[in-house]
Amino acid sequence: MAQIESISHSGINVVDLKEAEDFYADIFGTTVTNRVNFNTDDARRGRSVHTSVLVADWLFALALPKSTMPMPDPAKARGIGGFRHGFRVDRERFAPLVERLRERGIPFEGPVSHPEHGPLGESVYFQDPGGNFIEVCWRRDEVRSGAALDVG
Amino acid sequence: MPTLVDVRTPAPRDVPASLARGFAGAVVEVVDAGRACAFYREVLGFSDAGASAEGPRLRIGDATLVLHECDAPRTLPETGAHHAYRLPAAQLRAALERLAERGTDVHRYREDRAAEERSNVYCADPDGNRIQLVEGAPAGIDHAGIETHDMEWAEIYWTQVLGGRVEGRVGWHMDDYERAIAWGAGQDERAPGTRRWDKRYTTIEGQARLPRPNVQTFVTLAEGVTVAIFLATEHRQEPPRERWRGTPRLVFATSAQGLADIERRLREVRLRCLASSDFGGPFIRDDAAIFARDTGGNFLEFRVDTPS
Repeated sequence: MAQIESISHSGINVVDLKEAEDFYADIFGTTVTNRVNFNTDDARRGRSVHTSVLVADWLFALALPKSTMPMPDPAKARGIGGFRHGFRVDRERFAPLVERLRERGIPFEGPVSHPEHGPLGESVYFQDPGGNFIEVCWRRDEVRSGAALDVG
Repeated sequence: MPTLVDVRTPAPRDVPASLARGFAGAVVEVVDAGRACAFYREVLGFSDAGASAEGPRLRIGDATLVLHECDAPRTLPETGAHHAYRLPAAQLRAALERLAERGTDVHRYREDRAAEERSNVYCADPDGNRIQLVEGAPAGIDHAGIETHDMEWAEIYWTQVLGGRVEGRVGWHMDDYERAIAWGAGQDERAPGTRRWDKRYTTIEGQARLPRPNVQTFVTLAEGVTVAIFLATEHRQEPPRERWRGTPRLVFATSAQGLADIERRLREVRLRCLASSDFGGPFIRDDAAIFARDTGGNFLEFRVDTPS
């Protein structure tokens, strides 16, 4: 059995790289670590076009698709078939994040309270500008070794 | 103490308005200055404006064009590098007639930049310097295209150091990739340097090459002063790192205060990828002009409103 240490990184497709960079920086406080295929060496190697941003200590790649990708119904917030990316924040930072979504005019569903016996406290659900489904939650079992996402 | 900037540095808010107030001119390289002079004068309608130490000088509106002779001109005809000259309608019509009489190839490409959608006439001078002709007044240099090997550093230099703002980008949006597919299928004619074939990084989809937009960033330094920066698809000869003055060169007009501001910013705002002062850079001050080069090795001159 493989001994996995952690998730190395993950990637999503976005419609507009700059818009996505700005969105995640604004909402989650991410920082750009590098952009790929914006220099001659990358172009010569035919690398995919993406920006890596740092979410807490986790690399999140925002990638441009090779052609047009279908966009989901903007009214949906919880994902198609439940597929979404979930981010954890400290409980005290959850309400400010919801407020930030409200200030930015980003449609969201929630906050939704989860059953008290489960690991999750509350969640909000929304789409990023590329139609990716995002959930942000605080966890009742959040005393963990990893650092929680600091969203200011 | 220099201020180091990089991709994470927020856009500058303290840049004095209009460090550059216009295009003062350009210096291009040619094999035969006499032949080039005849082309620009007789075909495009430029006028004589004497000579500089670098070669004969022509005038178009408030801008000048210096034709610098050398054995191997750096013209980069297959790249996005070009000079766009703005000509009044009658002058443009006459130029197009003369180009047709000479049998010079004229191309009309579809444009990525909205401002150029109706100004898509391209040709080349006898040495291969690519020219775009833009209808408008007054006559002068409308914009210029340069290439660079690293778009991030280029954007940082042109915005953080020179105070420009990004007017637009190509290659950052999904639709750009869809348009590149149309170009790859021969359904969308685009100017050199705007699209490219990438070999696949992996072969998992059995496709050896992939059409892509070539990344471009349009930076506006002041009203009507736009530079289009194209990603270089090959490593071409770059000038030695210790050279800060050379050709080909873009020349920007500024005020005395603007020149002082540019000098201050070149001293204070530093990029790790540019040579340090050990090389005498990052600029040379010469009376009423500053000579510098950007992160891609493009030579620049800032001059207090006098011809180059």
